[in-house]
Amino acid sequence: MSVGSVLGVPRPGSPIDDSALRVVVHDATLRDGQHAVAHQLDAPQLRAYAQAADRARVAVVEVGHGNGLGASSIQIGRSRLPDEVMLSTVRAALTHSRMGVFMAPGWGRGDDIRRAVGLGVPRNSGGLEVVILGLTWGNASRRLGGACL
Amino acid sequence: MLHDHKLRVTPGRSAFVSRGVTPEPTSIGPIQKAAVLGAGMLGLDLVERLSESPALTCVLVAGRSGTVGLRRAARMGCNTSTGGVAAIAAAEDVDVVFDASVASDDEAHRAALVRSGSLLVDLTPSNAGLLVVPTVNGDAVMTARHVGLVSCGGQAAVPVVHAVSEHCIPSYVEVVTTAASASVGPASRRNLDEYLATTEAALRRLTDVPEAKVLATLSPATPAPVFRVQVTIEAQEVRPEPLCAAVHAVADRMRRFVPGYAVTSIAVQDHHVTVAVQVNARRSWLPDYAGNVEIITASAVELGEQYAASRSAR
Repeated sequence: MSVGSVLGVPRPGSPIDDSALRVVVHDATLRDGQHAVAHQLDAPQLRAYAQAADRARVAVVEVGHGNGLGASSIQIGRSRLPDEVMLSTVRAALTHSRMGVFMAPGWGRGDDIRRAVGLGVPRNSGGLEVVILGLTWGNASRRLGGACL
Repeated sequence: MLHDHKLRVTPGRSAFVSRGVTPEPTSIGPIQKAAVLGAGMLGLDLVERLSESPALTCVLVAGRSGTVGLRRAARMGCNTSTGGVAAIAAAEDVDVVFDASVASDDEAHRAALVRSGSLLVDLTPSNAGLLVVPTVNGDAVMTARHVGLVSCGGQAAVPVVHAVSEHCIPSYVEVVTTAASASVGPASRRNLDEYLATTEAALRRLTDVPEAKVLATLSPATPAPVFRVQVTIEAQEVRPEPLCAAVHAVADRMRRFVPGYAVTSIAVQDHHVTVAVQVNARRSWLPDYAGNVEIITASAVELGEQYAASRSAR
């Protein structure tokens, strides 16, 4: 489990007010954790873990290939399941948590995010969280309206 | 935190030919008038190359107002305009237009350029014109009016994939391009999705490989790494000896206009063929690592010269 993003960060120079900080926990097990198993998690494993994380009220449950959307390749390993199947499986298991997808421009692309959004957000949950990697690609992420970590 | 250092293109002092100063005629035929759209990294390198071409001369550089690149082009002796593509469309007697701007810009003006009869050579990964790689289908300039140069990765990978696919039965190709952060300007970064999609389209259309995936990485390492392209092909019935000979032969053809193009390894293993290419820039004003800039501008001028030769042969 990793601390993914900190919202409500005070402006530079202003005194730190702890009450303005909100820590959002991203559980990257079903995404970054895929590296440990050569991107071979199957649907029952994704479903069981997502249900458990949802019961634990984890804020964001990330899912996908270890390097994110569109990254299944000879170079870093092919996913057992296509992105759409991984996302649909986890989406169906979440009732409280938000689902998170990760995209590194150059590996994934804008269309991968559009497809992820097109699958719809989990029912009764907080929605879809999109993390786009890379300061150097700031323009690409702004164009997509995504977060830029 | 990645730090981006702007690539400094510092053109040499070679005399720039324009404003009625005509170079000595050569056997290539009449000098073709060229215009350059965009005064970024690619545009300025194009201007320098055109100043040395026996077949082409630059009559106009059009860009956005107030940019450093446009001022530099003016200092190099070019006629410049802040009117963008409209200024080129309004100019008379332009034979070849090199578009080194942004892939998504101004389709209407582009159409106007093509209607004017000039050849439009697109250096952006727009996938709007006929995709051309000079050593594979360069003769397309004899008939097409709008050609696209795919991408720097496409210009490096397609010749190799084309050669490999003639000596096996390929089913899939994966291409990874690695460029130094310092050699990739803001327009190229905005065009990243187009870069991937257009390079994949060129691989499918110009080679016998039915499925292609392209991955692009930027390296912030210092000293900056040389532009590299690695090609992995899944195939049956691989014939290693003629395959290697074909790859080396196409690298020789590439070096005629991209002297820093080199095949650094070829590996055949089971049903995988892996070829690594690196491209060093050899122009004095480009840093050695910026082979991605060199390969696309050199390919553009090569294509323009092929066009000039085809016109004089008529």
